[in-house]
This record gives sequence, C-alpha cells and structure tokens, in this order.
Amino acid sequence: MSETTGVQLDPKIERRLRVAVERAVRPVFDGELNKLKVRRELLDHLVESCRAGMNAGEDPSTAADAAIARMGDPAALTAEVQAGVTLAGRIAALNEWAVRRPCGGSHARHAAWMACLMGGMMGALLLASSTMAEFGFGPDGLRFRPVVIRMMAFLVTSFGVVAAAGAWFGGRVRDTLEAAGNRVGLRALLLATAAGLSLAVVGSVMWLAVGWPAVPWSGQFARSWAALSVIFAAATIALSWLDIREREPIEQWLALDLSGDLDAG
Amino acid sequence: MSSKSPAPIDGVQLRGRLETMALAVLEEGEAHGFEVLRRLEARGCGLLKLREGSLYPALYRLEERGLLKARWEDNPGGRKGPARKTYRLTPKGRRQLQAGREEWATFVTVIGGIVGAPE
Repeated sequence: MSETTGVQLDPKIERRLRVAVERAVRPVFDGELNKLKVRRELLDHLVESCRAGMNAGEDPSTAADAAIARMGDPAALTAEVQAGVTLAGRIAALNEWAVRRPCGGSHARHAAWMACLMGGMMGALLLASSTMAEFGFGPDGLRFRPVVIRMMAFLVTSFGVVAAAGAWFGGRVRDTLEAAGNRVGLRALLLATAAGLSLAVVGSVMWLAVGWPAVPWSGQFARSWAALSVIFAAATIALSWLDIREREPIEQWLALDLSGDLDAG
Repeated sequence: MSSKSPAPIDGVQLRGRLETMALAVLEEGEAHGFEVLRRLEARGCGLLKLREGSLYPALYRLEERGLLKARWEDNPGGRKGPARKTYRLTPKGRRQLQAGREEWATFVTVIGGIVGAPE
C-alpha cells in the first residue's frame, strides 16, 4: 500500500476540505453515525489527494482546489450516497429528525424527551390492552381487570414523568461532565443511572407483588410488569451506553460550525 | 491503425463496471479508497477519468453485499489525519470478480464481433 508523506496540512486548508465533504454529506438522509463514517472516509481521501498534489510541487491552496474538483459535483455525490442508504439508516435519520433535532444539542432535553416518550408509549399500550380486555379481545392472559390496567397506565405515565425529571437532571450533570472532558465521571454517571433504574424497577415489582393483596391477578401483573420493566431497563442502559460511546465523535464534527462556509457557496 | 491517441474513458462509459474494477484492483491486496483509485489509474494507463467521489458509493455497495470487508485504522504508521478505512476482498467477492470477468469477456467477444476491429 502506497503512502503519501505525512505533510501536515494548514488548518485553513483542512477546513476547506471539510466544507467540501460537508456539502456532499450533510443533505444525505441517513443516521448521523453512518454519515460520520462517510465524512471521515471522504475527508481522508481529500487529505491524501491534497498531499499528493503538494508532493508534486503544487502550493497547498491549488492542491486543495484540485482535490476538491476531482471529487466531482457535490450534488451528484449526495445522490449516489443517498441511493445506498439502507432502511435502517432511513429509520435512524427519522429518529434524528423527530427526536434529537427538536432537543438541540442538550443531552438533558433529549433524555427528558425520550423518557416522556417511552412512559407515554407504555401507558398507551396498557390503556389499549385495557380497552381490548373490556371488549373481550385478546388471549386469556390479557384479560386483566380494566380498572387495574388503567391504574397501571397512570403509574407508568407517572413513571415517565418522574423518569423525565430524573433524566433532565442526569442530562444536566452529563452536559457538565462532557464540557469538562471528564470521561471517568461520565462512565460513573452511566453506571449510577443503570443501578438507580434497576432498583426503581425491582422496587416497583415488589410493591406490585406484595402491596396489592386485594387484586386477584397481582402475581400475573407483577410478572408482566417485571418483564416489561426489565426490557425497558435493558434497552435504556444499552441505548445510553451506545449514546455516550458513539455520539461524542459525531458531536465533535458537528460542533465545527461549518455553516458559514457552507452558506457562502 | 489510427494514429490518434485514445480518448479518455469517463464515468458514463464505465457505468455498471466500476464495482467489478474495484474488486479487480483489490485482488492485489487490502487498500483504502485513495489507493484503490491510484491502482485503477495505474492499470488504466492514465485514460480513466473518474469522479473520485463515485468510488465510495461503489465500495459501500460492495461492502453491503458482503463482497468486501472493511476495517478502520486510527493513525496507521504514525500518519496524522482522519481515521482510515481499508477494504479487502472476501471469498464471495473473489467469486463475484470471476463472474464479472467472464461476463466482460462475453461482452467483448459479442460486441467486438459486431463492431469489428479498427483498421
């Protein structure tokens, strides 16, 4: 494998190359993680192309312009990259557009919004089960007493609100730790969140199983609630872990604030 | 034979062939995108005029189909700059390359038989 010499590029030249990459990649409707991989690869290509020109005797600015010109029309490249985006990528993009963008860059708002969404979804699911049970639809295991289901929906929705408040506070702490570059603190925050969530879930299960002796189906309720809660807790922990690990480089790139150069055309 | 130098071959003429060409140059060994392009230009005797950006969607399609396997390297050999993605042929990619070569040989034979050799 050949290597161009490690000529260090001027930051202004590298910024120009990044803007060229961004013109092609930003309009692509795909998850930000996939787009970051494309950005990195195209930037690596432009850097090598520019260095090859400089090694051949061109001045850095001319070499950069030539490298960008050889890359081709940004709109055409956008279309070609977009054609290859998978269904999973489009769903990830939809999630970015519907959930993350409205919250801006704040982890606190995003975490609170996600907690409200999940609490609301679980509440809606249980209300739907209750309604179906009233009309006699569904397998026998779903024929819970509707009033208990409604109370469960209220509890789940309340859980969502409490979780949202906790998520907002935890998000503020995370924003502070990230700003300080405290990675140890971030990992500790994640573990504390996972431990707290698990304790809350186990506590809810035990309260349900033991605290409602008048409800004839409480054992069945407890098992169903425990199963849902374990899935919820596992998903939250996994997503939070992935979120910390994978969003950091994305946000470093997006924080470059190339918008002024992009608008200049 | 004509004394005029041959015209460059651009992306429009290469439509549908770029993926097979990428597989062929990767048969030499693992490479990143820029190196793939250099190998294509070297083998093309300077007559290939590709839009360099078009190579990457082709590589992504090949990777998606399991014909290539990719890995990321951070600062290989102390090189400063963005992380580098390198590609290598998979066994499925080698079989697809062989199929691509046979298809091309048939194409050349059939079209060459119609058009005939230059005078």
